[in-house]
Amino acid sequence: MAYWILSAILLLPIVAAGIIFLLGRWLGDNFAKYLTLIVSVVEMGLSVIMLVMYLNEDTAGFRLLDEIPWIPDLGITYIVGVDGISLTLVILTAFIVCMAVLASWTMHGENLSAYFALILLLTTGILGTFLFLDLFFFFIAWELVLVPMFFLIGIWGGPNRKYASMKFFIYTHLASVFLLVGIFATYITSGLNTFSIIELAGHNFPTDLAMVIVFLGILFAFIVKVPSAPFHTWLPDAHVEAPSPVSMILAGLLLKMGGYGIIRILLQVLGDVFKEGFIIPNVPVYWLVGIIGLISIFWGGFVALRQDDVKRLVAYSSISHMGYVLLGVAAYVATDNIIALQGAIFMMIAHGVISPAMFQLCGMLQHWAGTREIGLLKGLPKSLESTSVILVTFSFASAGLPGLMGFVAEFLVLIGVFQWDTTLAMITVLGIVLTAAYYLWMLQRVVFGEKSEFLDEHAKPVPNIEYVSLVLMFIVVLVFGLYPAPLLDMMALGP
Amino acid sequence: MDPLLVLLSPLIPILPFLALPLILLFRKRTNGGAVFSIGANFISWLIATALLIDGIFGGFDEVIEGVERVVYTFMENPKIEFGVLIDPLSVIMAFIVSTLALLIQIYSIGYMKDEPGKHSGRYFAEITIFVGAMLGLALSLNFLFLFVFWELMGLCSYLLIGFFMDKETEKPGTGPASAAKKAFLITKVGDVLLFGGFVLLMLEFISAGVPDPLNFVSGKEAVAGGVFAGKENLQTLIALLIFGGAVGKSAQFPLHVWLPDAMEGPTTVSALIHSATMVKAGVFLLARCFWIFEGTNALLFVSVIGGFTAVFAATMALVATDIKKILAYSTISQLAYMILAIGVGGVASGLFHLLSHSIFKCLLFLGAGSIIHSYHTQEITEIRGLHKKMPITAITFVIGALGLSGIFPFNGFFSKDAIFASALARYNYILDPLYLLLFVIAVVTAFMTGFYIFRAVFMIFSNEPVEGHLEGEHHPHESPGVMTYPLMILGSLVVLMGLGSLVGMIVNIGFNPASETNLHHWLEGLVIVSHDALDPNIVLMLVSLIVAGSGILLAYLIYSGISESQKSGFVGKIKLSTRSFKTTMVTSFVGTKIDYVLVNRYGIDALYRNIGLGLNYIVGEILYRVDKRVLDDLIVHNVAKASLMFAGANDSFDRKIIDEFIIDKTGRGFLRLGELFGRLQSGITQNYAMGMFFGLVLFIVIWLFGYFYGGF
Repeated sequence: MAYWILSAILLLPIVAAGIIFLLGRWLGDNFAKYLTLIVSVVEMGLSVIMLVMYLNEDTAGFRLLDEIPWIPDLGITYIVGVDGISLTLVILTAFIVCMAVLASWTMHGENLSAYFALILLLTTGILGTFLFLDLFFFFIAWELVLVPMFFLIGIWGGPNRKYASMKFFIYTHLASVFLLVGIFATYITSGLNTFSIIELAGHNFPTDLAMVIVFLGILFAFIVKVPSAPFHTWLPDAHVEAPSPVSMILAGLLLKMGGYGIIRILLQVLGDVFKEGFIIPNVPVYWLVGIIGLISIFWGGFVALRQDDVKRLVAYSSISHMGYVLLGVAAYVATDNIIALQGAIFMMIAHGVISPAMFQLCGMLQHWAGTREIGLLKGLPKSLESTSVILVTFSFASAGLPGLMGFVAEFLVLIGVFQWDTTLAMITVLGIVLTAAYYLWMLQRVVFGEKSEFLDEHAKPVPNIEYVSLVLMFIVVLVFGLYPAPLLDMMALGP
Repeated sequence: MDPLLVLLSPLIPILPFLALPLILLFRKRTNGGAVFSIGANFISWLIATALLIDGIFGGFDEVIEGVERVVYTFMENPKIEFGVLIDPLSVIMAFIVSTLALLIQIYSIGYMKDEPGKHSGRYFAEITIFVGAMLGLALSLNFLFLFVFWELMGLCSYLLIGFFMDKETEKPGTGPASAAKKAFLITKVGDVLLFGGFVLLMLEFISAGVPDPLNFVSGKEAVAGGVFAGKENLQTLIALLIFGGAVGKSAQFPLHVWLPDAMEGPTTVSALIHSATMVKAGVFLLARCFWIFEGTNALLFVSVIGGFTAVFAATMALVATDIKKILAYSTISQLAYMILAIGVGGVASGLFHLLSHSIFKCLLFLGAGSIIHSYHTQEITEIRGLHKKMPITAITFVIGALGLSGIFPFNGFFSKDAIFASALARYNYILDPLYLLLFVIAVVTAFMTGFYIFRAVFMIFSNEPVEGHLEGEHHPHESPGVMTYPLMILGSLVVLMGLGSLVGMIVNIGFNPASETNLHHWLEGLVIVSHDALDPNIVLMLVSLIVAGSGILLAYLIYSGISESQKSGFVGKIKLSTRSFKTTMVTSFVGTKIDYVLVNRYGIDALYRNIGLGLNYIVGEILYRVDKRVLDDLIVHNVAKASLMFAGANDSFDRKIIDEFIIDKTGRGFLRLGELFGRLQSGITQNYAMGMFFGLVLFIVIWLFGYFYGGF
């Protein structure tokens, strides 16, 4: 039995994008804006239907499959399906795109219809990455994301947008080459003549040096996207230049593609290599992944301390937070404790909601306070009181305040890391202090003190519509922070 | 226990949180939302009081092992539930917290009257979260929720220390913003140790098959059942990590530095958070999971830290001139007493002192607040003639000071004596001279306590004119009733609790919650030293009384005013000679050095500050430079260059991008890129978009084709 729902979720945005491309010129920017909002809300609705259908079906592994042979000779199949991991990520995608569209509401400028069309196109790309269970289509979706993102940063970005968009494109494109080669190598090594993730996941891959190299190549592709140290320098530039709704999607969803890829392909398909492969004698592959995660946590954190631009600071904090995803996956491989993997996925969801909120706040500062420079924002509450309250709230959410989502994720990941290696874990927990340090250091310079002269001249009152998406995101962060059980149950159904 | 009360008990922590949205919604109409915050606190207090009364009249005997009331399941794997744990410890703690919080909140109405932050609702919003968190902590039934509330209190502490947000100071590293950050980060160091400790404990329990691995009750059973048999080192490690959390929160050496700075917050906040409740959380934690510490060497470490911090903090109080700083050092020192008591195995003594300290220190802080409110200064050298201007404040302040010094029959006397007795009993039990030393240190600290608090009292009571101030510059007056009534209530509690202890000691009446004997009974299983060792020991009491009294006497001789009638008499002569001796000592070479060290807090604050600055400006800067210079300039740009060389020239668009990308290093590239994008923006975008769209149409057509004919 084939299900229609996933294909509908996947293709609706791209169809709408096409309509806007074709008719946007005549119907104007407002048409594009409303159509995009409607589509993103419908996507939310569809993802709720998907959730219900998913829960009604009671099979192990992937559900809601829709499968069409494409090029049978090569083993390429159009196949979409979800398990607990991709299901939550698809819902997150629908939600964050909604929020980003709301955050774009007060945007001004030319050619907004193209902007909204590209957002929709991007949505299909991201959803495809999460939904396709065929490596060939996975790669197409993966690549599809790059193009709209390149234009969104390059056209609607800040003053240095060309450099940033180029850097983004080159970096991720180079990574894609490794991914493509890695996918083909996996395809050939398996000898199954199929690109299907489901079938490949059941195959036992050799754990020799050649396969380890393939693994490392794909790993490179994914950690560029995550991004992890030392391949992270594209991210701060891309964020700083991107318009804030695009930053929301970039931080909330694009980075998750890397983490998802690590779980879906490196863990599920190449799990044997992950578990038993060695880079050099006595150093298993998962140690490398864990150490990269750990270094990212500290690298991102320390550099964040030195930032003078709020948005750049949040970008570096993303690098730091995504380090927990790698660490959690590595801990899962090392200990076989599902809690660590749940933690890694939960971190992706938590960061996927909190960081978009932070980036929206950055955009609001830029727009309504006139700057994102920490030095100029001194005494912000005197001008933008509610914005300051929300900034403090989300800063603490991002710093892992218990009772909110980020804490649950850190808690679960650290359970796994403690089980794996106590020393490593004790180093990791110090990263929590570091995270608190850079946020507090920023807040000290922004929220406290007399109002700066700059704000006196430039600050404007914020319209209430800007708060709608922030409040919605906070509710999500609070509800699942206090009651993570349903989300975790879903993830427990994963691999 | 009454089932209805147990059913209602989760409301104790939840109600204050529910007040938060009401405050935020109606803050303008209710002038800051005090009514919601205080109302919620009041209902919580009613339930807590009912529980306490029920408990005292027999209920506690039923729940000594703890009764759980689960509200919902937080997560399944590992199993963690939210709910409350009803046992004597949690009920007593919830009662004292809700009582003091209620009094302080009422007092705040008067004290914060003119603060803009109160009218905006910020003050009561933050206070109500704090009250909820502290009550939640007291009643939490597992480590995870204890930690959740623990951290929430840290957040509130941060926000409330930084309450006066606009205040800027010249000297870097001072002022509310710095103090708030310092408090949060220093305690966070302790927090992550605690976090590590309970995660390790949980993993051990999971592998031992304990069904509810973070729950206090099942944890206690598991340890009693021998989970750690043969793994004593692991148990000690876990105990030490958990103690790390207590060190941070209860401001013990070496993480004590944040508490004196925390006095930047409003005095009500200092009273509530930084003396009466939150800083007690560390002590409470040790009592709550004493079963991990029991029988390990970690307890020795706990008692040494406690003993050392007690005397260490007291030395700094000797030279402080800011009334709130004196009280802050005193809090550190008194908390150390409780830690010491727990370290020597006298959990009941530690909690007994926790109760009495909460009351008298809260009284002292509120008294100080009343003084500051009226004199507009915190320097004890600038406050004069308190008892004439503010009689109620003055009397209650002296009662608090007597409680703190441990003078018969005020409550501090009995609780401090219990701690001395515990230390001595421990020494008699294992005859380790270290415990005798700890006992001596505790007694010396008692002498210093009497001295430093009455130094402040005598200075602010004296009538000598203040240098540089004109007479009558200020017109201090007694505070309004909303502030003095809480002072009077607290003052009478100090006396009543002391009298209750006295009666309890003589005839051991069963319903007296303040009696150590009863605490001992209810907290059974938390005590190592035998009950008999704590029977009233008249000699010990006399020693403690004499020591504290001589401290007060010395303060009297040095700091009290000399009236005309005294001048020629015997008392006047002694006063004068003591003073000249003191001046000689203080101005001597060694004296000035010691003074310098004490005023600079042994240099520990500066050390931590430099570590922080070093991490920020050195490590952060180096890594940032690596990002810019090495990763970007050296590697990424050269890799881009190299990939151009290897790339085929097939795709002109790609080639163009890479081409531009390399040239951008020379600077000219930006110009050419600008042209490219200039063109893109001026209409070509649409062309690209159209191109892209037709590509997609093709894609969809192929897809549809595959969909319908894919079966072939």
